[in-house]
Amino acid sequence: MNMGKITANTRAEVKDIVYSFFSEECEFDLSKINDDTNIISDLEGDSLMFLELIEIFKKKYNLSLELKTIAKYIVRHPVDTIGQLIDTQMLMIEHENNIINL
Amino acid sequence: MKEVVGCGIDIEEPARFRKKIPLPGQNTGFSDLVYTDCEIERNLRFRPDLSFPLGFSCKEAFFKSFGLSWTNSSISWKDIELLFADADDLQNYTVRLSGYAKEYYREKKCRCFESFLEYNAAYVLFQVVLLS
Repeated sequence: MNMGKITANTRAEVKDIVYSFFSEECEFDLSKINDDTNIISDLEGDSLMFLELIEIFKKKYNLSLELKTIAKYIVRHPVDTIGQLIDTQMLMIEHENNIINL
Repeated sequence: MKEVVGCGIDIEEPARFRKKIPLPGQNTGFSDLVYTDCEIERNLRFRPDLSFPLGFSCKEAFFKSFGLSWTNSSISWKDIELLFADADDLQNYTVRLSGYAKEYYREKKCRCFESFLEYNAAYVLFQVVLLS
């Protein structure tokens, strides 16, 4: 586990990055995004955005993460909403490739 | 008589890829996730502004033709490669399947596929039809 990468502010940082990212990429009013916002039906999110986000977080938190690991985790724990995305991202920061064992 | 096993089409905006194009010898995180070294090397030589988005579009089109995605199968983005041969003619390309993509292609009893790509400054498009 990489508890060293998790601080009291990490969740707020992750939330800020995710909200800002989708607001900009989807040209969606930031004030209208919340944790229940559906990434596909509300924001028209796509694979390219998801991959971009992975790249952002890998770089920011220096994560060792394989795409296949992420894919295997998401099959069991689908991400539909912004809130679910933030939760998943927090687990990725905390556990990196060990997320598959959760 | 050939039968259609699956079909997929994808359209992308080259503008969304501008920041993702790696510098020679320095891959971006995104390019490392999606493209093989061979694709990156060729794309950088052959109209990177179009070849990278076309490569992504090709991969998405194949996923759709399989009825799968990278999140619900073992197929990796790198299992599907779009390889250009000529900078002056992006219609001169081959698609190479490997790994789980190749395995799935065989499981679906595909014998061949037909593909089509088109592009302009605003959009790129890739279409594939799998045939048995």
